[in-house]
Amino acid sequence: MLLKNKKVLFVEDDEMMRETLAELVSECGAVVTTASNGNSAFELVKSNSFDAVVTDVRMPDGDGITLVQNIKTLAIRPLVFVCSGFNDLTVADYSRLNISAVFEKPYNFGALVNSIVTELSKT
Amino acid sequence: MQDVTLFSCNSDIILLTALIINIIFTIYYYFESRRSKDNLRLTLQASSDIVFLIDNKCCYLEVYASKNNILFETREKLIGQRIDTILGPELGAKAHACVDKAFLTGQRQIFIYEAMLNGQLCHFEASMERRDSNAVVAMIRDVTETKNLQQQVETERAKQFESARLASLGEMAGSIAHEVNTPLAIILASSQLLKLAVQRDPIAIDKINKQVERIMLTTHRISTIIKGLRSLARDGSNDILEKFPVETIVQNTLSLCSDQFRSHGVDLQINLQDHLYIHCRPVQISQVLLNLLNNAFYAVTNQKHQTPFIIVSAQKTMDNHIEIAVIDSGFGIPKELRTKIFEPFFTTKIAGEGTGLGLSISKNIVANNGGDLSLDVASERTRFCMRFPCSI
Repeated sequence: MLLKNKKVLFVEDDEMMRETLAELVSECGAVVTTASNGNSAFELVKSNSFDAVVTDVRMPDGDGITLVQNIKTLAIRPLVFVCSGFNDLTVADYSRLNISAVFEKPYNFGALVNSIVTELSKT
Repeated sequence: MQDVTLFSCNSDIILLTALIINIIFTIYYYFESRRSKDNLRLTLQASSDIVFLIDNKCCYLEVYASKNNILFETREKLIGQRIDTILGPELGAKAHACVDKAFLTGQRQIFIYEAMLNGQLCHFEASMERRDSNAVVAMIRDVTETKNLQQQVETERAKQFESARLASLGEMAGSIAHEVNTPLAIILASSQLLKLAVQRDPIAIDKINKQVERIMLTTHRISTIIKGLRSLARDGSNDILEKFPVETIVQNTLSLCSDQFRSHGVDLQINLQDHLYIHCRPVQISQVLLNLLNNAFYAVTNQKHQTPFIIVSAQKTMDNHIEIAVIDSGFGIPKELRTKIFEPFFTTKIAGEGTGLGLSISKNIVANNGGDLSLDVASERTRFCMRFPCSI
């Protein structure tokens, strides 16, 4: 239960991917919320206090990068993890956008969970 | 008497005059005929053609050639020989049939053949025409150089086809990586869930079933993409024409780009009539469709349209044709560009983004498949349409 009671938002437009990841994160004890696009995810971020947001990059109705940029404007913000199906970001983008870590699909889920745990322990 | 003598004298003069005139004419005709033969020879030398006179038994009556080395045998050996003897049984039979036809119909016969000459494969074009009931004039032209040039042009065009085909695949590379990586991520995550379910005590059978089901479904999803990719990544120009369902062509192609459209917020609408078949090389038609879809995608994403959409439709028309059309929500193609878009190297994209070969090559490919690709100028939206004769 590495993520026990941690509030995690998963943003992913692919329905099966979203469901599978939500199940996996739940298995680690986290409280999972999901969104299928960047715009609705940002609404959820504003009205909830998530510990972490894990987002895809290419999505309709608000892509992941715009979501990350929007989150950066908030006073209280969750940690951001980006999962991409294609190499859309450079290392310079990571720090500029306050991204904790980037994972290329298909990624090892254990590594993602470990990264969330490590980054959360720093805060 | 005097008159008679005079007459006799005159008669001699007349005879003599007639003889002289006859000699002059003979000499004239001799030189004239030599001159015309020389003219013919000179003309032939310039053109490197060969002229044969062939009789109704298919034997060579006369040979005029600019050079001896363009003949299979010397003139002396050819005269009187049957053409079958010189050309061999197979080619001889074809030439023989052509000569017979020229005699019979009195119409010009064209006969194209290839043969080894001086160790090289040469191409010839023979034009045969009946001169009179005794002879056919056969004019042979060596078209090897023209053929070789044509072949070079064909090779160049094939190369351009190839590079444009790969370019359109390259444009899709990012999308394809995305299309494959997402289901792979699902399989990996499902496997991890499967592992967790197995470790439970007691083993969570229902969870295992759920994950196995998910993995199977997702594997199928990847295999569809790979099938689409495989059909597009290879050169299909040598495939045979076959009767093929339009729906399969459309689905194979869309499996490669539907995710890209979705992730960029482009609404993809598919409107296909059932049971449509066309006679084509399916791989090539997929390639053209992908090219049209790439163009449509570029048009709608660059114009920041409010609600970008792309429609793929297929239907049977009243005049018994099958139409496969790609319509996009872009603002259409300006009138002044409409005639240019099918020209090679014409592109509105910035340097490096497009080769400008897509549409010209696509039009060619569709034509080689017995159809036609055109821009529907009557449509308000940009509408590219492939038309094929109905395949029963």
